[in-house]
Amino acid sequence: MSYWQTFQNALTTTLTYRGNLVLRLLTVSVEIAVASFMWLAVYRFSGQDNVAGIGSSQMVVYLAVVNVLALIFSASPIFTLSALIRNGNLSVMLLRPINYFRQSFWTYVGQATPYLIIYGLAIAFISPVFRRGWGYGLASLGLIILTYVMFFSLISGVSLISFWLVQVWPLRPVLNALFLLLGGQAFPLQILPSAWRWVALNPFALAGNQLTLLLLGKLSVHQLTIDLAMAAGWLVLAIVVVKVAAAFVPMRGSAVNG
Amino acid sequence: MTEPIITIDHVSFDYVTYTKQSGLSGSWHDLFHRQKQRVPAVQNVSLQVAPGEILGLLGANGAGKTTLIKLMTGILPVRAGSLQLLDDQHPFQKRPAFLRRIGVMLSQKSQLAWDLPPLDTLVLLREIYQVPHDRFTDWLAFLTDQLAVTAQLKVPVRKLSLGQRIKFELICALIHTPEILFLDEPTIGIDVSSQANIYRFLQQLNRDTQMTIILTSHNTKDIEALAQRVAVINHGRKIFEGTPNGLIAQYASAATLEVVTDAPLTTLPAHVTQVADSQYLVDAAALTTLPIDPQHILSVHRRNGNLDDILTRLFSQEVAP
Repeated sequence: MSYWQTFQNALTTTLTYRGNLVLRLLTVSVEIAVASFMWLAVYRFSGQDNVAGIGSSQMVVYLAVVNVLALIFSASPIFTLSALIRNGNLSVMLLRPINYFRQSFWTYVGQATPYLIIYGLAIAFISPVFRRGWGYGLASLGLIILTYVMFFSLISGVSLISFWLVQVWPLRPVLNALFLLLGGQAFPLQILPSAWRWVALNPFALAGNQLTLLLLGKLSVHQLTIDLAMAAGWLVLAIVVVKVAAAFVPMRGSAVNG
Repeated sequence: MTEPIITIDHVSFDYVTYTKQSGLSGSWHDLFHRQKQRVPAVQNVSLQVAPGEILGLLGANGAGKTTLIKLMTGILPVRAGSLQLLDDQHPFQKRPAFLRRIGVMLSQKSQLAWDLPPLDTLVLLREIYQVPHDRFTDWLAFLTDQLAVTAQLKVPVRKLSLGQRIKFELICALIHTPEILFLDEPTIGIDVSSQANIYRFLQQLNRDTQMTIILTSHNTKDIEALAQRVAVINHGRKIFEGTPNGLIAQYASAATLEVVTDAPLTTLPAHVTQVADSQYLVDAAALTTLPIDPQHILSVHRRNGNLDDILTRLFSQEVAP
């Protein structure tokens, strides 16, 4: 129940700043519009009606979805932990009989809920995911949840760097760039040459490119299986990183393990 | 003495810091050759606290008081010596059962969510500490009533005054009725009326529930109002342990009284020296009774006998290693 309350408080905080939420959605809309115009120009001047199997109207939907996913898969836990270390409030958090990372996860979910609702509605009503049978639908749901937990765990692992780095803000543009290039935010990774297709298996691509393709109904059962396996693999790696790194920082006991 | 609830046995703790040289060349040098420095924050401190006791930890800035609290609460690991709180010998492992039995309010650190009303944080703490709902409701009503902040329960924290925020921080530390309450500078920056309110509340809490309270403060009024026993820490070492009156008795330098009267005395008694219009110094060592009519006395103090004076002198002394 404490995690449910954590989730509620995070969601309430997000909704408290309604102006910020609206402004953020507007900014993302502008980004989507710019990227869409650019890609429509590419279609027009190349004389082709599809690029790597994606038509122009699907490209616009792709860009919209991948940008919403970029909001869902944020790197905020890194900066939250860094702020807690810098202002000394981490001590207060560690004195609570609760697992810090689990609490942080539910805060992460609460903060992303408005965007998760947008993606969820699109999956439920626009996407053909559930029209491809319940087995495929459930596997898709599994991929979404697994990827979400995996990405959070990976970001949490990276966040532990805050114990050694005084300032972590230089990481923000790096992470944005990684999502832009490796996550498929700027372009679908399918347009890469076949020798580079493995890039689509990186954690950012699973969170951005692959979940967008899933919504567009462009993920085969084979690809879905591979993505599930990769997400599970990255999750295991992230958990190992968190456990090992946490052993070297003052977060012993229930804060990590309880 | 009953079985102690806290036993600190020859505990030491060193911080590792890095010195930084000034100027551009110094910064360039530090990039490649950082100078590591060990700072002994707590040195060989031993202390015992009985259940239901209010212990005041006194010390100058950087004396080691907060480090000692961090060691006791398990925020920092004990490097040397041993420390036992309740029945836990390893607070740093932060076992949930141990954390549920202590309450901590650290100065300038906040449990409250800045954008939400205090009630939301308190409900979260209710769930974290698994406080039964009916007990939570009654206890919260009592706490907010005693600290006069009931009306602010649903006001966003960012809109509260400093005093109201500190009171809610105190409520956060108490919401699960801990057996030991740690208060680090609980009245910093708040007005005298709120201070008095907090003193009265903590005294009542200690009396009614036998809650053990460990208090650090620079404000000697906090210590005088609350502490039954004090430990003075200077440069990481304990230099005194006893009652506040014992501290005054040990360190008040001269048997001289400062007396203030409502009007100047017409005749000056023997062993009395006038220092201002209605202010006199009385040589108490030479007298058995006060040679001034009590009806005209506004105040009597032992010279250098208030805690502030004593602590100022104690803190300015260097301690031999």
